Amino acid sequence: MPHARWLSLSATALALGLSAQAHAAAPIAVSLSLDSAAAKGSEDVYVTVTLKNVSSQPAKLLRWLAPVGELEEGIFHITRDGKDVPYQGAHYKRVAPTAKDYITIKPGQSLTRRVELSNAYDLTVSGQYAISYDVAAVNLFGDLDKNQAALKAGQYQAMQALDSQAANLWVNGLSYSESLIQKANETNAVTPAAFGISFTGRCSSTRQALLRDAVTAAQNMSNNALSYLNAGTAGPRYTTWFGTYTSARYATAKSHFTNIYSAMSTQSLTLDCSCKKSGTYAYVYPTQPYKIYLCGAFWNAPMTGTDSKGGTLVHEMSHFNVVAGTDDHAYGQSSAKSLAISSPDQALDNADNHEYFAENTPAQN
Amino acid sequence: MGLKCLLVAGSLAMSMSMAVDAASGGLSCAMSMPAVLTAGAPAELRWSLRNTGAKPVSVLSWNTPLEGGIFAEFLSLERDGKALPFSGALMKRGDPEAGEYLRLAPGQAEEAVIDLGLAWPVDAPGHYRLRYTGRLLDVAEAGAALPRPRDAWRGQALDCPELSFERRP
Ligand SMILES: [Zn+2]
Repeated sequence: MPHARWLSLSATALALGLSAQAHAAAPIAVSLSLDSAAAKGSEDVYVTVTLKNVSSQPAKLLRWLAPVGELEEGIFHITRDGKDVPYQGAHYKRVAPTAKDYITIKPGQSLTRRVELSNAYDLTVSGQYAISYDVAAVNLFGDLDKNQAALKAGQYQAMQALDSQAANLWVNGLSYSESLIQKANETNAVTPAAFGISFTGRCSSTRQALLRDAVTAAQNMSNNALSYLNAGTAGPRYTTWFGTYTSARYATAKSHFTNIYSAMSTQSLTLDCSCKKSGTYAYVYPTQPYKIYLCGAFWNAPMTGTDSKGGTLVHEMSHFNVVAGTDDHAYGQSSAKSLAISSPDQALDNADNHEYFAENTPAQN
Repeated sequence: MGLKCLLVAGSLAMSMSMAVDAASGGLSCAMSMPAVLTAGAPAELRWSLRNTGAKPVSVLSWNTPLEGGIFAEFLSLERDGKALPFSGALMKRGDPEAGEYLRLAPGQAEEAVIDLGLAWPVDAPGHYRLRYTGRLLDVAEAGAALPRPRDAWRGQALDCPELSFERRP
């Protein structure tokens, strides 16, 4: 955007009082700018963030709290008319950082990145917004060795913090009550029975429409799979994905697809769009039916066929303990086929084998 | 706030009372944990992978703690002989990106610490046994073109002998 307007220029660093160790000023200064000081509630909002190394040594910053890409944590503090606007983006389970979890900026150099805010914070409601970068963590600046030494010496580690001044944004969008009505419409069930689809994690209207079609595709696929098994067929379609026939294993497959089809067409599903991992289609917590998180690879998948949107939903549905309690022993068609040959019992416990049986592409009898 | 607490917890030093090591095809896996956990203490497992071979290798981080969290059921846990249910995330994988491989020079190790409590019920007192049941999905020699699609992966079993620990009431 040609007329970027700088709304704030300085950063401060705080050393929170957890430690006797004195902390120098932050090695990095953070400044924010918005493309425009005003936005319509319907448009995407980006902030341009500049990180400048103001020290005389290379400066490190913990990558997942650095504003350098898709938001992975609520690293911005945003208020609308003085009230906090909650972060609604992805959250990851983290392990303690290691050296590779840091970005490095050379002395005197700056790093500038444009970060979308509107996919992780609700910026649709009219009002005056104040947006600042605001993070704190032990090991924020990567003093891993020093912190280990402090631990060995029995000292606590200090929290390290980094923030920026606020950038201001006026949004001329929905009134608060209009936004509540819109949210209620978004999350209403498609049909008024127990079956329903609701959305979390800021699914765009395009993605909501794709997800409704994907659920229909998954219902059709799992219904087709169940009909095949109810007819007692044990042709190449069955043996390719579930291995040598035994009546006990066949009964297991039948009960799995009875449950998958039933859940897909009678339960209330929650579909979440916050995951951005591009090499991953989707995930679930098996103990938390019926919430399915869709990730980057899902949106590039075809609606039906191998590794499709519909098939991915069948895969994920099979994971829930109340449905079929499957695991991920092998990924992809060739590994799933090998598993069916080497260990039919594991194939019946593997989510991809269920997906490929349901997708049946290329078609087998 | 949850994140900050986790980072603080993740960086506490552990008393490495148990460590086991096993070689499998140029890669060796080690796990360590305190042998005794008091009530309420986080159950932190330190997991590391070392290249014991003479050439550099690249390993897909999926199915291991090195991915940066618990994104697969790569451990099996028992309390007093009873298997514990997994409540972490299970992911349907596609084809990986280059950044999801870790390059290990000869002799180099990468390690990660995971909080078992995020995915298994490890608060109750008892005797726990823990095994790594994952499998390395793709291991590539230096010079291989990466990332590569699922059908071109070269998977490898990884043997990490089991650990046990005690949770005190
Ligand atoms: Zn899965």
